[in-house]
Amino acid sequence: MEELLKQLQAGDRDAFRQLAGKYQHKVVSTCYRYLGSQAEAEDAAQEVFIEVFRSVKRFRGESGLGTWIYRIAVNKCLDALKAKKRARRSSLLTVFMGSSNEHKRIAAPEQYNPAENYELQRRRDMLHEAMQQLPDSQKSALALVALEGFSYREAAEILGVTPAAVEGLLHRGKTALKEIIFKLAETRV
Amino acid sequence: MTKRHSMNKRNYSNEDAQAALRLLDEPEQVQASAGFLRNLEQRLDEAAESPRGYVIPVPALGIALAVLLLINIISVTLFLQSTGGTGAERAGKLQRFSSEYAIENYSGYSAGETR
Repeated sequence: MEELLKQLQAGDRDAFRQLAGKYQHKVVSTCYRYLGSQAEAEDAAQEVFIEVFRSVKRFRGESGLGTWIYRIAVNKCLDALKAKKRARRSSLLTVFMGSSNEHKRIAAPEQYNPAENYELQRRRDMLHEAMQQLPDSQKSALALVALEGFSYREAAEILGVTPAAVEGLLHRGKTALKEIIFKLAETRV
Repeated sequence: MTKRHSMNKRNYSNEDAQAALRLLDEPEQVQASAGFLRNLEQRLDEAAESPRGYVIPVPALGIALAVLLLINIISVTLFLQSTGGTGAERAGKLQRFSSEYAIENYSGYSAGETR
């Protein structure tokens, strides 16, 4: 791994290909837990790897290379969620002001994968919708530990907190998520 | 409710809620698509062709602002001194002048003279 890091820091594209090949699935999967769509997850994951390529020279090895990559992924995904929220707000504003920018919206998961089972997709959407209502810290604990299978220690390193804090966040997150999900089921239109 | 809003809202049942919670306990496997690495190569090439713009670091910006503020304070002080002292001094002068004027014109005494 040390050799790979040296090659990466020297700007070696083959080393980068090797790294991306090794981490691509886990990074895409982690991004999917936050963003709820394969297309958006892949887009965010590519930004993660570009950021890794650009800033690997500054990586001092205080944490593992993998931990560092997942930390970038978490930050990118949280930024992407904030940007989505802003875009939704501004699109609502344009609706009120009489014009629509519907064409600018990112493709919905259904459009991206039309053959997918409808029921499963709406349940995924429900889980995603509920997770968006959680604070970022709880959202991250759920995404990393419950959905991605990271250990408390690994998730703690990625999030920069203690394992006990991750455990607490996960517990509170699960309780809150359950409440939100049943509230969503109650509020039928 | 507008048509758009009703389209965005979904009808979820209790069954959906239970199933959504099960997804949390048995998460699905998610993988990168086959073209992921190829697309990444392309984006990396594009990123290499268009390097990021120069970003001014925050400490440098802070120092620059502090220097500008200092220059501003010095120039204002110099200006005030050249036009008859600082604000406090000018206020003092004005107060003394108005007191003397009031004494001379309305009290019947000359300035400096007391009962």
